[in-house]
Amino acid sequence: MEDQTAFELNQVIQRWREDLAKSPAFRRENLNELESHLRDSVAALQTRGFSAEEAFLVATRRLGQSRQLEAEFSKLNRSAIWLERAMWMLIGLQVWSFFEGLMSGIAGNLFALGSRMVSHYPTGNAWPVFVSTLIQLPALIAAVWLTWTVLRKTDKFGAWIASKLARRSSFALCCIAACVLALLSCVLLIGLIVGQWKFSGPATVAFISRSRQFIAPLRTIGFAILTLVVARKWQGLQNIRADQTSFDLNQMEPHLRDSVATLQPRGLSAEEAFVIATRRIGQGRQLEAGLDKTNRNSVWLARALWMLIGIQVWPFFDRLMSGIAGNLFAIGWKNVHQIPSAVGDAWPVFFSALIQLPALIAAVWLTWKSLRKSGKIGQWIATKLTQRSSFVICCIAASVLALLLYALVVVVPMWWYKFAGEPSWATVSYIDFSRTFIAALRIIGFTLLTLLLARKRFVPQKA
Amino acid sequence: LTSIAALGIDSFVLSKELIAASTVPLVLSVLTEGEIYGYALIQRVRELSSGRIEWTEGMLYPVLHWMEKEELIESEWREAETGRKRKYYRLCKEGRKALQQEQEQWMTVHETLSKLWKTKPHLS
Repeated sequence: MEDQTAFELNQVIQRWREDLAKSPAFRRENLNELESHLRDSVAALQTRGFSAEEAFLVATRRLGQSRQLEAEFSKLNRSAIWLERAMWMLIGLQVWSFFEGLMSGIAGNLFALGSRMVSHYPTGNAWPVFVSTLIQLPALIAAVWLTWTVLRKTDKFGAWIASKLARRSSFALCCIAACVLALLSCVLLIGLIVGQWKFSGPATVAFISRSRQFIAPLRTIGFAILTLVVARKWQGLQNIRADQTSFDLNQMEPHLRDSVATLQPRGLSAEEAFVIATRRIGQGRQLEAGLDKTNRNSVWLARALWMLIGIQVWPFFDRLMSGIAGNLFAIGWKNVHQIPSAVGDAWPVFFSALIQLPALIAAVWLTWKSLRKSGKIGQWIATKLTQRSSFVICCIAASVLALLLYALVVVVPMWWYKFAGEPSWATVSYIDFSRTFIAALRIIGFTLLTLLLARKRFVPQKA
Repeated sequence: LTSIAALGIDSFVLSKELIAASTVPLVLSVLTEGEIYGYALIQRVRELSSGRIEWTEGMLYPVLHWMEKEELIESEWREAETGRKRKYYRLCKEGRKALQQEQEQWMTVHETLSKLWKTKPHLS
């Protein structure tokens, strides 16, 4: 009974429950039912003379490993799974674009500052672009690192926000606070770009943006491969779990085997008896701590996977749609020579925004639809990841595909411009202006959507 | 020696595929005895099969929920004598029909195999 003081059954059950609750596969009612089962099972084992700790261990094993259960329950709660994925895609998109803007802005400013001090470059235009690329590259890596680290550290903060979402009033407050924060971060990023102009002339800015064009395809490839690496790692963890249940009794040390033999008549299977026996001689603990850690890693790897997918699929549709909208505006604008000019430049910007807005909504819709329809492709790819050779082939194919899609969204608008006639500088700047407005609108919209999804996810629905 | 004997019995458990196929008819059949909650249902099956049908216990619940969605069974949260709440499951009309079909199918397999193996089918 001395175990009882060190081992708080209620606490451990609570922790076990919280671990399961991290997955959207379980509704609150499911957890209630599983907990009720676990308590029955523990109680029955305790009457057979096992300590609370041992009973808990055996009962949770009988219930099944959490990822195994998650896989089965998720077949029933499909929409909840997708809700969670959408939420993490949105969170990833926003956190990533903030850090990316911040880091590349800082890198740009460093370059601009440096280029003011160095008045003479060796030769031509290639060198400054190369130097700027050299600064942008570590900035990109830093942005990835920051996004990941910040998100992983925010477990408590996230739980705090989740607790605020239930009440309507605090939910509204959260929405307002998040919007203000998002806008402030926008202002910060714009400030960084203005800084580049202040430090130096348009030539430097052109160098910087040219270097970013080099970085962009690199990033596209890097992210495509990173996604596959994360997916592979995640799958690897699932497999470890399955392996851990198999063991060989014949290779066991004799005293362990005896111990197993005495435990089995008390209603344990050979495996369960083995687990308890190893625990009694003090070997089991590290194994469980390790399993706990793999569990947590598995949850975060799945989140990272969906963040990465969101970060890649969304910009594709966003650029495609806004590119098409820009072209439509450019064509229309060429034919309209006279505009109500009373308000000067405001009208064309307004018109362009009117076309960009439905394009934005279409991009969101397309991203969502294409991801939801891609279940079979995803499963097929998942089967290819475990073998190293097919994994490498996947990486190459994904890189090529990512580059092709990237080229599509960059090159096609240019061709179209050529086909429709080069738009004037003014037209392009109208489009750019309208996009700035839309961007602010999008950031607010996405922030609100994230909170809405989080509310749906964390606030229990009435049965 | 005892350990080997114990292991011998223990390794005689149903294959995964057979367990998966037999879960629904087993649940339906246990429910004909009256309403029951998940943990007790598993204990009942374990007892009847002398431990040879071993489920990963948590996996039963998705099956139960699926059966509920198909309206084979229905459920209700109720307080037990201990004061804790448990979810009780009960057979529906559709469930009885489904059980009848299952019975015919399993009996067909059973009879065919029995004839091939030249043993008498134990019909109860």
